[in-house]
Amino acid sequence: MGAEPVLAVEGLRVTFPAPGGAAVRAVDGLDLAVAAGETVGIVGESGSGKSAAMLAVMGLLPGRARVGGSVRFRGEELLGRPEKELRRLRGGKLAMVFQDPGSSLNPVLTVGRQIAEAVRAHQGGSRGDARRRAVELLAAVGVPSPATAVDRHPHELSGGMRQRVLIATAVANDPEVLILDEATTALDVTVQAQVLELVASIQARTGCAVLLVSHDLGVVAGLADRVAVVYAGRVVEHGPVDDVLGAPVHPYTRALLDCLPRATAGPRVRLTPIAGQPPSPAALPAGCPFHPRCPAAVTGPGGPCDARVPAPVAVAPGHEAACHFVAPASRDRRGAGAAP
Amino acid sequence: MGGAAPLLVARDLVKEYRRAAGGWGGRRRTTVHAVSGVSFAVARGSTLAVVGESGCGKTTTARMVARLERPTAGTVELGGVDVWAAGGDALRALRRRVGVVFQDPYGSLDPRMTVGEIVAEPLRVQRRCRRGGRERVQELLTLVGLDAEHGARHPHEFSGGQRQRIAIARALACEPDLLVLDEPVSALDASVRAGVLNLLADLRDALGLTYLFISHDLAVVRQIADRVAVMYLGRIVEEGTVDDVYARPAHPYTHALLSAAPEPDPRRERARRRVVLEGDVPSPETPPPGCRFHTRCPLAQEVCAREVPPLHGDGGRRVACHFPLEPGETLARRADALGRAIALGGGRGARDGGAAAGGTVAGDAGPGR
Amino acid sequence: MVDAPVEVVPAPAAVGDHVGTPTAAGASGRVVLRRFLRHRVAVGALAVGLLMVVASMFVDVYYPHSYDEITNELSQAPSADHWFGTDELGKDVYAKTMRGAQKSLQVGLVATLAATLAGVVVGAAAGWYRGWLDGALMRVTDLFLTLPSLAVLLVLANRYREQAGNWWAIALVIAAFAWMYQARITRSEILTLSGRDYVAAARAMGASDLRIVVRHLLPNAIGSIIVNATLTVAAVILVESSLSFLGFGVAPPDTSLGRLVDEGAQAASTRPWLFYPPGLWLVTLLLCINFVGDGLRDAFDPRRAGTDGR
Repeated sequence: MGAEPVLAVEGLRVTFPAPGGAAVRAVDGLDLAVAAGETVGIVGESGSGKSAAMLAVMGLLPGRARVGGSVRFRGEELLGRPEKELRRLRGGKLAMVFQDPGSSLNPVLTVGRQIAEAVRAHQGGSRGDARRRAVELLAAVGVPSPATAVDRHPHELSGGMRQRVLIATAVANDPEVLILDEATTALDVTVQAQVLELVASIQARTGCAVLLVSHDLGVVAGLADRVAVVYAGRVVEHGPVDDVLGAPVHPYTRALLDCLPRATAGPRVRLTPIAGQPPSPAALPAGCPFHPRCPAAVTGPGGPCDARVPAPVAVAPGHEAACHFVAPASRDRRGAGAAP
Repeated sequence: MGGAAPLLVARDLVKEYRRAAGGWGGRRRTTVHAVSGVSFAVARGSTLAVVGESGCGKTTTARMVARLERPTAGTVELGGVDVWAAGGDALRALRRRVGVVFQDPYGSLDPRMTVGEIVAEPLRVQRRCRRGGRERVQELLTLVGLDAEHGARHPHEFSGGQRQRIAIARALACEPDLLVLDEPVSALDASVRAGVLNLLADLRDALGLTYLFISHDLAVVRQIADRVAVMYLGRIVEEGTVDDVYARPAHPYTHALLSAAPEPDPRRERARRRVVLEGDVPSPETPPPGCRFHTRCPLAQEVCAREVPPLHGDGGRRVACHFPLEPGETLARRADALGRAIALGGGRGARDGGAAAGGTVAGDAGPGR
Repeated sequence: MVDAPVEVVPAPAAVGDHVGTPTAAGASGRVVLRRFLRHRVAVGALAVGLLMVVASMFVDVYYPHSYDEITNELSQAPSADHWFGTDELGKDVYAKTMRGAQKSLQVGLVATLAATLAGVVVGAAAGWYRGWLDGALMRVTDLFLTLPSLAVLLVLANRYREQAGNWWAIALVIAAFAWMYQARITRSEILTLSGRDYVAAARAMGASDLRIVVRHLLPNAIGSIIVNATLTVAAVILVESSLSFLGFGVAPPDTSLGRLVDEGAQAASTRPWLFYPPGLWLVTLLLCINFVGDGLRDAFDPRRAGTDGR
């Protein structure tokens, strides 16, 4: 990915103070970059910190959260910027769509008003112009009869249509970065397919960068160019989607793929669950956060897994994994991954 | 499926809710057609999955089987006994023979009770269960892969996966024949879901259980079920063995559903051309006449809007469609033959290749003609 | 499925002391207690309130004068011997205030008990059975809420006016107009809770209605019920004081704080010690009960904790 990233996240940390003085480390040194026209999938389980990281990028975390590291948009640091400047970026150059299409819309305003407000907040213009733009946007996201739909209230629309309205709001100001945070999770598969198609076509048209946050590897597999696998607040493996999902090297990515049932492909085999539970961000294990559940972990005296946090190792161009037992590209091109 | 009489038989189940529809005074009433004539049979020791999207009536069907919701019409028979006609001792015995597991591991366990009390509650309520008390609770907890000593703890001390195991232990307390599982793994993370699915498969084989498994997730259904019934807007549109239905979907809706299920394999995802259905599922308050899928069906003909296609077929396979797909035939090919444009999507490959992806974004996603 | 940054998924085996955030319903007694103890105003109010209750209940033990003892020190100002002074008959005002506080508290507790019982039964029946029963019970509740309660209370209390030992009757009459909020609160809690899957699970295993309500629903609604009951105690004491002030409350030889305030009112400017001590005692007691109620509410449901609480 030679192009200059539009958005670069480095060493992002998000901690929440917890009662009793302990800090909850929701995001623990996360690196990420996305270039224009590129789609990066961010996959992880509940509590992995992927949503907290996106909220930190948008500057939407509650005040008590402490955010560290660096978030650069077009080379300019966003962290620590005054709220007023962030507000100008949010919904403008940086847009985000959330999971719940029900609660992300104001129930007492028509969808047209809500889209028009997003337009006027960033571009000004008259109410009439903004309304016309809202109709255009609704048409562009595939809402049937947009001229009447603008005057509907959110509860009159189906979940899929509401998610389209949210996407219309998000792309109203031609964002350069579009973040979709589990944006299709609440939708049925056939509707999800519609929405994913929509996102792809918007990207093809506008060339924006897309961050696709999902727990569903299938959603990411279809849409992303690159994938970052997040575990306990860090990226444990990232690289081109074919490499990461086709030939994973990190034990967590491999385990995650092994425990997924398949809808259509491959034989029906017994699944291999991952032992234990995802770690609580309030009590992250020492060393590699995956080591208590890792089948290949070597702990105790001489074993690095519970002693040191593994640094990312490049196993192929653009493909990195943070595991003590991953061989660097020069020695073993295929990256046999974990030791037995 | 052998000659033995099936354990569970549902015949023409109908569930309609009446509800006041807005307006001052709320005089106007509408009827929600949640389930409109659903029949199926589940052989002892097997798993029937009912799959469909939200609002298709799958959960209502499960609740009618579990005696949580009285059918407007139709019958449910368990081992030849009419579940909704039974009373007194017969009902008591029926309750023991059916266990239920719900979707939400956080809502299905009473937060004020200890795990031991939760698991023992069916034993207490039923009284006639021969064995009871602490030992049985420990046995059940061990059976579902939990520590026997966890009985003294409260549900909030457990993770989602562990809670779902507790719910399974409770459902098994009275040694039932049938488990009604309503989206039992939908709320769980992938790494935990696999363990619960394996547990359910193991328990079925070890205890000879029969499952009615409700899910929206085609991959999960393929993993756990022998047979699958696909529901759309209150009706079963297709039923058969999982292998057969998944490999050769005959109903256009089944085909579209299967093609929309994402797979974590980027090369396949890009190569495949999925059928993107247009529009939304119609409201169950005003289901379309004839075949309920005809408003979104790329193959719909006049007759589809007029006549309800019966669910028929031979052997293990039933389809409710006037123009079912032949084995191996794809929806796209049939639509081409009819001279219809069909919205196809897929991964980047399909798009970059200039495939007809634009079709999905077309504004006129209104009801098909 | 989302990883909400704020809610921490507790990993039970790994974390000994669960720092998880149990929901309102999931809060165990210990957790509620811990949260209540963090609420400084409420803890202070509880301490002061308890001290006041103990002071009034055991006044005979530590105070030399009795409320009915007539000394020949008439209309004395407060002194070391008579803490709150004496009245025109030579009776000790402190002893009388304690006696009145005892009775006010008794009326308050009895009335609250009766009102809570009635409210919970009505609310639970309405919320669980819904349908026509719910409609009927809630219309009755609304009817009671719309009646001008003080006027009706005065009419009813008039029947027991100046009858010795009438405090029971007064308490029950007050309770007749104090159950409605409890009924509404219980009903709405039951309506919400009965949608939970654990209720469906209990129904599926054949549990009786009574078992479901008593074993599952009420224990999970207990927080709201307790909070409302606490606030009812204060409200009921206030109503009783109003009745007594108007001359329709507890009859002699019993007395109550309201009655004492009434008696002292005429002398408020000349002999303020007859008016202010029972009045301030009443106000302080009510404040304490209300603060404790607020603290309990925040402890049972931390998400609703107001900005005024701390």
